[in-house]
Amino acid sequence: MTTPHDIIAAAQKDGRSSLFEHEAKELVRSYGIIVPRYELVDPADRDAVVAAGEKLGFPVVLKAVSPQIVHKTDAGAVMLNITTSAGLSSSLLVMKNMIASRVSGAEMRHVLVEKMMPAGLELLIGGLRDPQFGPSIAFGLGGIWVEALKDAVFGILPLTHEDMLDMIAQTKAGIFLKGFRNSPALDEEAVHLIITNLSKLMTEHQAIKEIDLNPVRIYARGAAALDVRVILQ
Amino acid sequence: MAHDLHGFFYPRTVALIGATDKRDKPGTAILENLAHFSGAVYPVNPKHQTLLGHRCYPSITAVPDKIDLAIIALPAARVEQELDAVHQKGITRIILISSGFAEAGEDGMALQKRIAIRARQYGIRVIGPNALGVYNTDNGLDSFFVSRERVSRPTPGRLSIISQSGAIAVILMEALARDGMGIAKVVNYGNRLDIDDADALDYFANDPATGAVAMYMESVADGRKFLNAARTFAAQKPLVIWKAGKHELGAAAVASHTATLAGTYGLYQAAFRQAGAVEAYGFDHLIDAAKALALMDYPCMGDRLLIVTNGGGMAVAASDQAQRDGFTMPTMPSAVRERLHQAFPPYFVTTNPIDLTGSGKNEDYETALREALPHYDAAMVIVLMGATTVNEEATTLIARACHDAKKPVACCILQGLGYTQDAMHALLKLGIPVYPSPERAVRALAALRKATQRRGCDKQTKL
Repeated sequence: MTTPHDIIAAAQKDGRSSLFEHEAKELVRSYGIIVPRYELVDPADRDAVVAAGEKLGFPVVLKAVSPQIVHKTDAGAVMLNITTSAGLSSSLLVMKNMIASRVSGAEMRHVLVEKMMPAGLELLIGGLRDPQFGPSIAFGLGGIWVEALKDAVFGILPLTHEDMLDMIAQTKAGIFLKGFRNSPALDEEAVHLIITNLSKLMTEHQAIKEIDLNPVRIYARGAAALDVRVILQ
Repeated sequence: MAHDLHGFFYPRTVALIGATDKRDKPGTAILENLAHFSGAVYPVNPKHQTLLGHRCYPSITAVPDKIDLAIIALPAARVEQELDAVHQKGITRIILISSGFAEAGEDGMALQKRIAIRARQYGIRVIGPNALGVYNTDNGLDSFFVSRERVSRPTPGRLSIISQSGAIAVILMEALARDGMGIAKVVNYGNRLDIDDADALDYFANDPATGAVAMYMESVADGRKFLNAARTFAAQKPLVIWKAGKHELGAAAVASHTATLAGTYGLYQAAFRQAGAVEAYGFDHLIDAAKALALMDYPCMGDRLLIVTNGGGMAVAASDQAQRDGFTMPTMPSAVRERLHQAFPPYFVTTNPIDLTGSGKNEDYETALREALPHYDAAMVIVLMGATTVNEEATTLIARACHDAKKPVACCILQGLGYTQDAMHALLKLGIPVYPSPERAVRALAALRKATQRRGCDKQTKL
């Protein structure tokens, strides 16, 4: 099991200023943040990709890991809701072709075959280092609504428990967490835990410039970070 | 250290280097304003033997007294050299009025850095450069180069002002003076070569003359230092801050959504929230909130708002604002309604709002508040002075009811220029904030509610 230091050092040695998705997920997992189960597979080995899907259990998602791809959705590097082995096999081909046509020269180092999580409220929880205020947390509604709604508020580390509650209460996301009408209350404690652990990660690893958990899916019980981006100094 | 600011506000002796009598020079206005200072003033200018009735000295080293504070109103290019003389004289506090430093381009920035290094070497504390400096109603110290015939000075009070902008400091001061609102101290720290916003907050936290602070800022140099100082201050006294200006992010494209959303403003808002400060969203809002926070002795412990009026239409506007600001307006408890019915004519409305109509008298305000206010968390009281059945005496009765119930009250007084002005000033003297519109009065109470909530938070274990 590689340590956070090792993960970061390996990327730095590789001359990269950001972590691959699986590296980022290992990093946050080591800090107690839940991510979906996944298998890292050689994209040239179609049988291994299919086997990974069968091992995880359908439905799965398929993602490309490439140093040249920054926005996976735009690049066609994410295939969702794959329900069969045949579907997984053809998705692999479709994805390769799409990427080739959209991102010239994209090197596909790995593919991630990942358990697809049920639908749920999506949040953005992130960490950044501000030149004036230092390490801080961002929180708000996530997923595809992020840029349209700009629901995010911030918290400057270190955060007390009260600070964290206040922060959440400022957002629309906070209203959804409490539940209303036909929507049940969601697992606020799971959210608190993610914020706490992310704060620790930011504080303990100065090499991390920014970290972006988006979307984090919140359920009535539990939460998971579906996509994790880490940018290094 | 924070207590160093005490020497800026309470010097026994002040030297004005660059004093003059030329029209439109800062050195002229400052010397005129220093006439109100209770301590000794020593103008320094080799071109004059006397200035404005003071003996004028050719250099700072020629002054035959220990100087606690030197105000330097010289062109930027001459400041560096003057520092040597200031140091020779053993002065440890200076206010640099001069502009032409960091705000004036690369050369100015380089000059400011050199001044900073030299001042630090000499152990001299600096307010400025490019600063108006300090104003203290306690001893009349006034280093602002704005003449009193153009800008009135406020009377003594418990509100202090910290401003990054000199213009805003002056305008705030005058707006408050015009409204009859007292001021304790003002500081405009300019380019922040040394003394900054956090230092000012630390000083005012410990200043017995200061009961609340209103602050204007555009940027902060050390965000964490500011956050800690603001938090320490707001734990003891109310703090309201207006942050203006936008901060452009760096050009580099960043992949993560977090950085795209950040924009520095969100972090300032986080700082204000975590510090327990109230945020103001503009000039009027800052003044209105500052009045309420400085004057009101009573916290706003909940969201239940009572409105009392002698004109129904005004109460509708107030109710709208109440909803916008997160207040509730619970209906009058039936027992209270009963008693009000017995005391009032039948055409008075005794729900919430209580409408005393155009025939309402001074005593009716007292009755309404005495019976109803204990059942609410705050009251907004509208007095239309156009009704001849009320007059300035209503203000005394309203203030008494507020202090008896120990609940926060804001007033809205309208109509009749001279008459209204007197009534408003009377209320301020009685400790009741008063506003010329129902929306502003309700918003001010909302600021008080926010301050109560944020400062009442119990900060527990750190994450």
